[in-house]
Amino acid sequence: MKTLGIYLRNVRKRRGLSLKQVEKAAGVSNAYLSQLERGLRKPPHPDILKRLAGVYEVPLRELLVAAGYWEEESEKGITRERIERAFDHVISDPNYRHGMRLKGATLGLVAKRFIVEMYEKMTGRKLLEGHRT
Amino acid sequence: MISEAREIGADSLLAFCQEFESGYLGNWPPGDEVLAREFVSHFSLHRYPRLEDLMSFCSNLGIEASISTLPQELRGLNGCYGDKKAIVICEEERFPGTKEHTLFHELREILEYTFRDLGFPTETGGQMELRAERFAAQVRLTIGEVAWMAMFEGARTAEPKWLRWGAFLFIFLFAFGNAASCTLLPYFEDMASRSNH
Repeated sequence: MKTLGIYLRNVRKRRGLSLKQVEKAAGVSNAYLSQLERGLRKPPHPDILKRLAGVYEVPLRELLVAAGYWEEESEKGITRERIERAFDHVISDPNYRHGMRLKGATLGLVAKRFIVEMYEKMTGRKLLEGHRT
Repeated sequence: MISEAREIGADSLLAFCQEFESGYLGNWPPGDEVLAREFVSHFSLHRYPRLEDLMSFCSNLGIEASISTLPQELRGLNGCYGDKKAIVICEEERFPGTKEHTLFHELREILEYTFRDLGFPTETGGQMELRAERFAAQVRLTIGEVAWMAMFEGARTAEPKWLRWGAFLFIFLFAFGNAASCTLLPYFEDMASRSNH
């Protein structure tokens, strides 16, 4: 899971923390953190991500998304249908023009949600109201 | 032809598109290489701009540009609603130049919305992504070209002779490296994301 690794390394560097400092603050070994950052380990348990989110001062949701937990959770629940419907609304709104630069060929649920949220911010309309997880 | 630098404001993109369209009407749509060169010339992007400079350039154009952690499938995205325009660029990128490339890619798509509003779309065949990629690479190439041409002019008068030829060699390597990095960046990115999956 290199995406999570890159993300973790970037937020740590942005905060100006060494691996040992994170180890001390989060109680996660620096060797393990180093392997995570290099993409050599599977995503850790959400409890560990919660501790890291506290140390790095980033929303837990961002870490869960980077680790791939958020999408899995959303896909199983009603949120998926809601996001898909909202996304369809966004792409069919003739007054809203949008484009993107993709890393792959397909757009996942998390990305669709991000696009919907950007639409909400720009238009002032609420498509996901009451369904935020 | 578009050649002079102008003061940049919220109407500048529209003004650029109008001027470009009237200049190339007889040969519509021109290629993205031409559009990119005119874009660089029109907005005087005649040196290597830092990402922060490009962000404030967007801001002057009335585009809210930001860098953020994006879902893993996205390098960047743009949205336009009425007068509001926004670009978001992915914060976590492996290769140098990717963020700048993405920013120019998104700008190209916003330019296309303006061309469509004017009744002169440059793309109708579903190849917008490809065109935006070409435009982004060409803008960065053109900026580099201006820089190495200036270096070349400076090196021509260098003395002694060995220093002049050394400078020429350095400039050649610089130009080659720059051209390769601008044009091959999307391939490197593609290979990197494949290896990630």
